[in-house]
Amino acid sequence: MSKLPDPFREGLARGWKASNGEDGLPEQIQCDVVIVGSGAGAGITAELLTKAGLDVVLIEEGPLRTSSDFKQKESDAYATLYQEGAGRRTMDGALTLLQGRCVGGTTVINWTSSFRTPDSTLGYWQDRFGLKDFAADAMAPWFDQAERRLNVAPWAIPPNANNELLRTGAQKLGIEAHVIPRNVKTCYNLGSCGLGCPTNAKQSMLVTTIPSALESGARLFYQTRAERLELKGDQVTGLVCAPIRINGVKTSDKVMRVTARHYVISGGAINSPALLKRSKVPDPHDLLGKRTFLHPVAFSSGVFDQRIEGWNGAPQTIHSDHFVHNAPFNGPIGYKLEATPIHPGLASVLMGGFGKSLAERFETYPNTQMLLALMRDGFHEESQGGTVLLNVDGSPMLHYPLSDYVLAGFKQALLTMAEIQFAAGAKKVIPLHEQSEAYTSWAQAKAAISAFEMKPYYVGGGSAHIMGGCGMAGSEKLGVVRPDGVHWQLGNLSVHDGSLFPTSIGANPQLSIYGIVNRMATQLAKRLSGKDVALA
Amino acid sequence: MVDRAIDHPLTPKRRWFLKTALFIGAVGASLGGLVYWHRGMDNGKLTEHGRDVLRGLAIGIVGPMLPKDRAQRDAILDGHLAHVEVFLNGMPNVLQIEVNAILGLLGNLPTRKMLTGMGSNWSDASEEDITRALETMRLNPLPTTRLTYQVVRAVTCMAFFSNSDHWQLTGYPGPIEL
Repeated sequence: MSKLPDPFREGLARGWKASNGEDGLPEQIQCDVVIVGSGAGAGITAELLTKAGLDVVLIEEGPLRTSSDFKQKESDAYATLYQEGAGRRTMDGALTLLQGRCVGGTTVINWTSSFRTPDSTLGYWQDRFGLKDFAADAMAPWFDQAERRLNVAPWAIPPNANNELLRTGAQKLGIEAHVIPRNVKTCYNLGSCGLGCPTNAKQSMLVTTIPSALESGARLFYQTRAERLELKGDQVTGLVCAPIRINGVKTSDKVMRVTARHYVISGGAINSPALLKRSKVPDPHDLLGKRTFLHPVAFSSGVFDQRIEGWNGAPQTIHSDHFVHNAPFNGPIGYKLEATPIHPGLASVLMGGFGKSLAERFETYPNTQMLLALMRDGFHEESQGGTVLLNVDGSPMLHYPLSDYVLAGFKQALLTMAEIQFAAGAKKVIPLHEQSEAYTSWAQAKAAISAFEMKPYYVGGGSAHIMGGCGMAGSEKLGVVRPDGVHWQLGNLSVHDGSLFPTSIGANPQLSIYGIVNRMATQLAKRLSGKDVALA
Repeated sequence: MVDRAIDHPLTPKRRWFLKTALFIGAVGASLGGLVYWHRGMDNGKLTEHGRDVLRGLAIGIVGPMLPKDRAQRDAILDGHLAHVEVFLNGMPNVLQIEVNAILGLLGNLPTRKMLTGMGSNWSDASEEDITRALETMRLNPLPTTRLTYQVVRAVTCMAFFSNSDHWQLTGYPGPIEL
């Protein structure tokens, strides 16, 4: 049992206003701004708006779990902190989708990698989506503030073996590899970031902006689902919420109606466009839910003579952008290379195989290093992303067809990762593909991977970076929201989360959300309160 | 090449999958004559047939990692089934319905035969039978059958290996104690 302090519980004891929907909700509440969600976009927005003296309410459908609850166990974490118990998939089941669903959202379970939006991505947005104010130098102060607020800095401790071998292999092949900036403070280097940080070292929204907002009087309702917005003319007039259990089942038919001057949707990609669709928000150009991106991820296991212990230590500390920054937008899909932390549950899925082959892979599990390649989707005409649809019960589904273009990227990424792993000294490499075997040389792997049939359910993949669906643009014909995050058709509705992005980012997206939402929320605070506030 | 059979943009795939599953079920039922449609779960509890399927899947997927001692092996499998039940109950209703449908397809003779080629019950099948059944699904020309393999493998693996009771079977020493 951890004896470390739990500042969130201490805050609750001091009187922070946090209510579990399952225990019952009031019928009606009023506030200046209601924010749907409590993740990256919601947290930044809540802190800035409460700094401006505004009365803020946060609505989170997931449970409240704090550092005392984080036991570094996958079974607990997946059941309580992840969307659909970590069982969310694309509609065809071809890709697993990992998203947070708890107070703090995905920031509670991400692996802390913190990159600014690449200049090339910002340039593309300016050119193609009319986002003229998104030049790198214009965005830099907003990223800088977010970095200072969340203690983002390059990881100064030596990387674990899982990451170091990426750098080793890359350097042997003449490929650039760099240290990853992380949002941590006094990190214990445990490696349990994906299971909820038990030491509060990770500067997630759970330990930074949400506490700050609650300390300033914000009200938090968790296990409370935002069901639909009520609309009148060009205004939102209310938000209807339902109490739910952890697995999403409603506890009663009673609802809570929230009325506010302004409504901010920060439920994350997939959930935010789904809420707007359920609410029948105007969508004159048929853009809502479209262009949802994933950074589809390919995986490759390398087995080494030495112990790697891929579960141990900071999960992601080395990356390579060689195959993404050097990739033209009109060419084959670019991909960013990183290491994959592997606790047993995740390892069992990503190592592939069953029966004898799975047992053989677990025999060398402590000596297994795992790489991932996340593909930059949304920049090429054959990579237009997916579409959020509503299931019969109103829950969201993501239809994301794997195009030939994206699947070709999977093959190229598997080749690259195998080559790097052999260059780093791997004795065996096992790409995640159903036709794969354990290859003992680069030549053997190259020949085999080149012959792989690239089709769904043969190619193993997933995503933890869901983006788009409420894209921002400088013209209403190109985007759901304006460059300041305000909805093109509804003047008191904003979107502040990763669903804003008109393409994928090409890098782990959390800092992109923090930086972009920082500017939007600062402007919103000024508009609603007349006050100037700053994140840091 | 992309498998266009599952890629039509006008075909919402989960619904398409369920329709296909129901179609297979209907065809299987007609082929099999008087068939009882056995559910995998009922009111949040695994049925006898659901347990039969999940136990067989566990033997096929993680069996070689289990102890040879029969009593130890049975205790682990019983613990796994209890854990799977909790795992499935933690999922939203729509996912539970899908998993329940899959357990039904794999539990009933006609549909199991169509999906896996295996005629015997999971409890009567040998380890070799189960391996062949999984292999048939894994590399099947029909995308829905390959998806069925992926789903049952993911459910079995995530439930089994995320369970701290099974860490000692994997080489994972557990987290650093604080």
